[in-house]
Amino acid sequence: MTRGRSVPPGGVERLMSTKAWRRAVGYLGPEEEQWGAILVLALVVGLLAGGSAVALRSTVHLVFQGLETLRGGWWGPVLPAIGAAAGVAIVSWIFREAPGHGVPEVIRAVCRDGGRMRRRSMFSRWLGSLVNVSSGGSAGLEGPIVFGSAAIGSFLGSVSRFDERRRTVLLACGAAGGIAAVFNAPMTGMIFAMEIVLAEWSAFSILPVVMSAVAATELSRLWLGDIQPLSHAPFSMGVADLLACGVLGVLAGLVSVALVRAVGLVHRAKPRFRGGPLAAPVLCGLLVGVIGMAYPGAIGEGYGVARAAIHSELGPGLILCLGLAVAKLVATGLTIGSGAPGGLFAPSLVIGSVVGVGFGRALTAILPGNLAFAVEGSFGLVGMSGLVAGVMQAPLTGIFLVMEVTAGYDVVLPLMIVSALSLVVVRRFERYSLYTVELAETGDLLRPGTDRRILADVRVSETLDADATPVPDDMTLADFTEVMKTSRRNHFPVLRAETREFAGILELVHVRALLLDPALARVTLVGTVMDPDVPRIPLDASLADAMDVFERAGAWVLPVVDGKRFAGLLSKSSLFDLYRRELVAQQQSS
Amino acid sequence: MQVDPHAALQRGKQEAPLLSAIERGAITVGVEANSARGAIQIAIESLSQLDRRLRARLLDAVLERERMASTALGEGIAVPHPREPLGDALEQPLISLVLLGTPLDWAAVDGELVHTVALLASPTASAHLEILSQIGRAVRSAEVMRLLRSCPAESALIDGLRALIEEKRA
Repeated sequence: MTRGRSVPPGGVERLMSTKAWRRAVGYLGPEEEQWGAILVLALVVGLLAGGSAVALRSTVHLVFQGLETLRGGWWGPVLPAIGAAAGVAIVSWIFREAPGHGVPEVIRAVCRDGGRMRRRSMFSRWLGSLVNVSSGGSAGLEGPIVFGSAAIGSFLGSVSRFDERRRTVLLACGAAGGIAAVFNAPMTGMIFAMEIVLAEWSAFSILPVVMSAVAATELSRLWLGDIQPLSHAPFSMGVADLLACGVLGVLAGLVSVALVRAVGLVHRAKPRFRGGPLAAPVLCGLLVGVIGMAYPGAIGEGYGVARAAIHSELGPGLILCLGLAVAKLVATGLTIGSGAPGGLFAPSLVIGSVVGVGFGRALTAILPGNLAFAVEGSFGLVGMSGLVAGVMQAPLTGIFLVMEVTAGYDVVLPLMIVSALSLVVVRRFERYSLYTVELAETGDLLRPGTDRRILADVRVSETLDADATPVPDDMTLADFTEVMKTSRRNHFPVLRAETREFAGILELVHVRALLLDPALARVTLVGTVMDPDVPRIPLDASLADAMDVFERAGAWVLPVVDGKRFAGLLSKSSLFDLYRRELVAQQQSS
Repeated sequence: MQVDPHAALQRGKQEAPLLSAIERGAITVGVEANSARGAIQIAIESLSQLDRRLRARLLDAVLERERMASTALGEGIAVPHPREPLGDALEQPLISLVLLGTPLDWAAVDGELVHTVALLASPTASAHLEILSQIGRAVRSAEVMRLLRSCPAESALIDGLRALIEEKRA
């Protein structure tokens, strides 16, 4: 069930209520489906999301380069600490939002809040990540961009007074536009939105998402030019390389698990930091700064390292790769685990590229010289895909992201092998990704169209059986036979005669023998033979909660109570009937 | 008569729940009481295997129930019991069977004086229902009623009831 909140009419809403607007968008599809309005708004969301993403990336690069001269001295470790603390302060204190990269909040909005996000979310992590990443925090901008862009989609969906379904699609359009613009990768934007944000594939959502991704990419190309962020020379990979990619896939999976656990470790340790909410980001930022003095490539977004890796231009030696991968992994764990705003895409790509190059170097060092393998940069490229697929548990996003940002369409087979194997290994250790683990723990990971989502969307108060006949506990079974004659029910709620509070359930099948014996029926009170320990379902429970109670009790009919007051009976059959109706309604709306 | 609870428990596995409940409880024959309340007090005092506090709680609960409506079944039988089962305070149902020397007025629907009091205490509603159903069947048996009216000795009573109930079950 989603929280309701009325939106005061604004300029956008007034525009959409005009006859000219309705006529214009009416050409794009039946008005009742609002196809035209959704597609037009998807375009607008894409442009805004793309603009926001490109502006953030450009500003961060500008500031990061501006601070470059300071990093050599004692400012080196201090800068990331200041940036992390300021980023957390901006998000938590100024915008009053929970710290972190924000993608879980976007998924929560899809799963639990009907696509509704706060308006301030359009700016909170944008500013927070600008400060954090440009000062050297080891994180990417993609998470905050997804968060802010999704909030733009949600905002436009809300002011257009769209229902939950359509607002959620616009939110996904925002996420798709943000990713598409920041990577110049429209397919990746679309797949990220469908695979991670919506977790569903339907024509209703794909078209607007495509529209948004295309618009955002085009805006990005107009602004920055049509360049692949990580373009590379063509590679060719043979059979031996494909076999080697199997091993790299497993390695990428294990490194993904290490990265996920490093973030989780710092995140769980955060409450133990003394000195207020900024203590963790400051201390972790200082450590990141120290790491950055030893490994400058480990701080900031780090795309320079990834670029060097896939061009086979990373410094010599296996030890360097190992050190850089560990340094980046630890720095990312410290930055993101401490709650500093920043995303996982960039670190995953950087670590993946370094691990891949290291793997290529290990191959040539260990195996006989007559076995010819592809250049190390090609392993760096597929390693990136393995890390993205593993860390986000999103293989399609991993494959398409690397394919698009590197224009590496020639290595699609190794990308698929590494991504798939990486995911298999990660799922062996981690059931949920960093994006979904907290939602799963709080029971909020309710994907559209799933049983849990349908059951969670409906309250038991909507499906109470109306014809329950309560009886007082001091009634004799002889008197009860008269009540029974006028009821079709087999279960009778019993109320305390003195207080009218719910006392238990009388089930006909249990008292039939006594009802047929007038003498026994005369001396037996309803309250004596009722079941006082019958499990009760709270009135505000969801159908999912109710289903759990039914399963535990092994019952077909259970009472619903509002505190101690009897509210009605709930039968499993009416619960299933409501489930069926809700399923049909959700299918129709998609 | 006080019954060895362990022996009763062993037999109870095979026997009818009513007989087991009587054997877990108590049988008192030829008692003189001047009121229904007095008879109930005697029935509960006979349950010496229950601790004092539980007996006091049982007495209050049975008297409260009796105030609401008579528990006389008719045919001279009364089945006083608490308004609600005793729950965890009791492991298994038990009956304190009291055969009165002088029948008492118990406000029975058929107007007959009560000569047999079967005070029933159960941990759960289902146990109560099971025993009560068996009492209903036993009361409908002319042989059982004849046995109860004859006011036999305690051992003869339990043997007679066992024979009659087992015969019915067979």
